[in-house]
Amino acid sequence: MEERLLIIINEIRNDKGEEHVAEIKPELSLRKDLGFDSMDLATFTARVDEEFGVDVFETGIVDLLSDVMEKLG
Amino acid sequence: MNWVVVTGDTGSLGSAIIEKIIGETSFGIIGIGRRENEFTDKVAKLYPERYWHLSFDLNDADNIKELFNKKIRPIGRIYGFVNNAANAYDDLVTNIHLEPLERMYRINVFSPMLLTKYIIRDMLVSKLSGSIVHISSVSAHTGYKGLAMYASTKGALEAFSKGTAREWGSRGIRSNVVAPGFMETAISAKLTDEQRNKIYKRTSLKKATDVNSVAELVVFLMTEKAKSITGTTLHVDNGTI
Repeated sequence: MEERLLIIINEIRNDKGEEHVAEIKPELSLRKDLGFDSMDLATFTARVDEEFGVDVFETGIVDLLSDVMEKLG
Repeated sequence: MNWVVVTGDTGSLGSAIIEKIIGETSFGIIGIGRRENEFTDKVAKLYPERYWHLSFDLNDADNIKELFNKKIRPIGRIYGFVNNAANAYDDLVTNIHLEPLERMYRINVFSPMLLTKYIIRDMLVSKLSGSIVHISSVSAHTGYKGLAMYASTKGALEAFSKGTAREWGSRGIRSNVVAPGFMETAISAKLTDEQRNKIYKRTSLKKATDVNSVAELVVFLMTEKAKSITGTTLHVDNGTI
């Protein structure tokens, strides 16, 4: 799961011309640490839903990668 | 192949749009309507690779997510959305009943909004700069007795389209509205000849709006030819004054 999440995150960062992150750390904030704005978060949600079949933002605001991982089981 | 979702594929405007998309573009079409009819059967036989009809009642807004994930998405990548299906609840404002009003809002507004949600999500995943076209109505711009509630659903769509265009323009996704005048379609069939003539007299060209002229513009907006057009409403209404 972590590898697939890392690919999605780095694809989004790549599209914005930002450096890849090396590894998934549960304490990372999507907004503060990964620099995702609301449009990036929408893309992240759509790609995670496509990959895992789970809409991580459906039941409220999610910020830490640990929250995302918890929802993906 | 990239696909365009067209709701209301059994109606006269929906079928004209589908014929033009088939004839003038290379898109596949996913038609959504309550049931199949002669037109959908004919197109499905002629173009088995390019046309799928899905039977679904847009009143069932709760199941749009399932419709998208289980039936639309497996067909292919979605490039476009033509929100053409509509329900008309016509009455005086003083006679409003909540039940038909809610039904009309589910069909005309809520289901198209939810379809837009999933279609834009799909565009984000596939990185397609797609096109969305909502079919509005002249009644949203010029008042007609008995059409206040119907017109309000179209006004909602126009505002939604403008917001969508602003929100997703940075990803190349366009959203526009075509506002036709009164056409000879099922929606206007309930009008009496007298009502119809009165409406036509309010147009510059003094007649019904041609369905093919509306369909032509919808297909143009779908294509790359319209790449600089977004966030607007285009009127095809014989010059209603």
